[in-house]
Amino acid sequence: MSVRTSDMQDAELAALAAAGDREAFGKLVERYAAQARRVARSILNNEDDADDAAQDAFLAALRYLGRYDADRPFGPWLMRIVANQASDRRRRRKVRTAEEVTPDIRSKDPGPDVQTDRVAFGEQLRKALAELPERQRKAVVLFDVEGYSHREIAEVLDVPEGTVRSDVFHGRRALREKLEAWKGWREEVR
Amino acid sequence: MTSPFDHQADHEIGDPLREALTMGDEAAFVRRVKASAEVLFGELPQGQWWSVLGSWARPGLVAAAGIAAAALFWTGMQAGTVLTPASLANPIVESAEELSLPVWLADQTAPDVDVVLALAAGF
Repeated sequence: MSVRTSDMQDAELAALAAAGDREAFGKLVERYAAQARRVARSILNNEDDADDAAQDAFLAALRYLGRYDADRPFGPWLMRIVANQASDRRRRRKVRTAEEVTPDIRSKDPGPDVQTDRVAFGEQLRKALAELPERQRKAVVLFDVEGYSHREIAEVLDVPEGTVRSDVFHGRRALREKLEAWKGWREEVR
Repeated sequence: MTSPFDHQADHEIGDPLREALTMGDEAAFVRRVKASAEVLFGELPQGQWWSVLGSWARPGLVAAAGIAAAALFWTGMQAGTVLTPASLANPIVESAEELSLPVWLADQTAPDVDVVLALAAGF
């Protein structure tokens, strides 16, 4: 069975999972776990909350697999659930994302070590991302990180395609500005 | 520099973002979700899998019927005659006329299936 499920398309796995096939559901979880966690983390900016939201999303997807239209790609359908779960969780806990992560790029010394530098860079990226409006954040992550098309993201976010293009553009520009500032500072302290 | 009309992912931003957002111990997360799903699998409404599989089978059945009809039509064209419902039924009707029920019942040999069906259908 494991050989067959690994070769199956998402839609086939979804049908089997809806029919109660645990292995098919497990395969879908394995395929989309990393992506779902990244999307949730980009919205919640917290690893534990992101995992909780991603898990809730998978369980919600299992519950509503009967409503999934097999003629459409599974990824955007699932990512919509993930994004909604994460946004709901964020609202519930009254996340102070922007306040928590207001970047003070001069307050931390990344140190000379390359690994430390990479960690610091990742941290700055997440902070920069968290400063974006939530919809822009989702659009940039789904487009530039997860590789979804503008049309698919429009379905995920339930907005017009043109809005997605605009969000991706403005989100990228804001990220670039913040990262350039951080890189410039890194060059100065070296 | 990118434009708002770009259709390609920007790897200069996307790759480091992916690295920054990716969390560790994916296997543990997958195990955790699967374990939580066990409860749900027990709660799935009875008959749901029939309806799902049924809805999936319907397009296949329609396609199969279409292919069968096309094949039948093509076979008829190859034979030089287009088969119609009447021409399909005629041989059965003729057989039924030759084999009335009393004759059929008195016959020692096993009857043809088509004849039995034709009699049952009232031809």
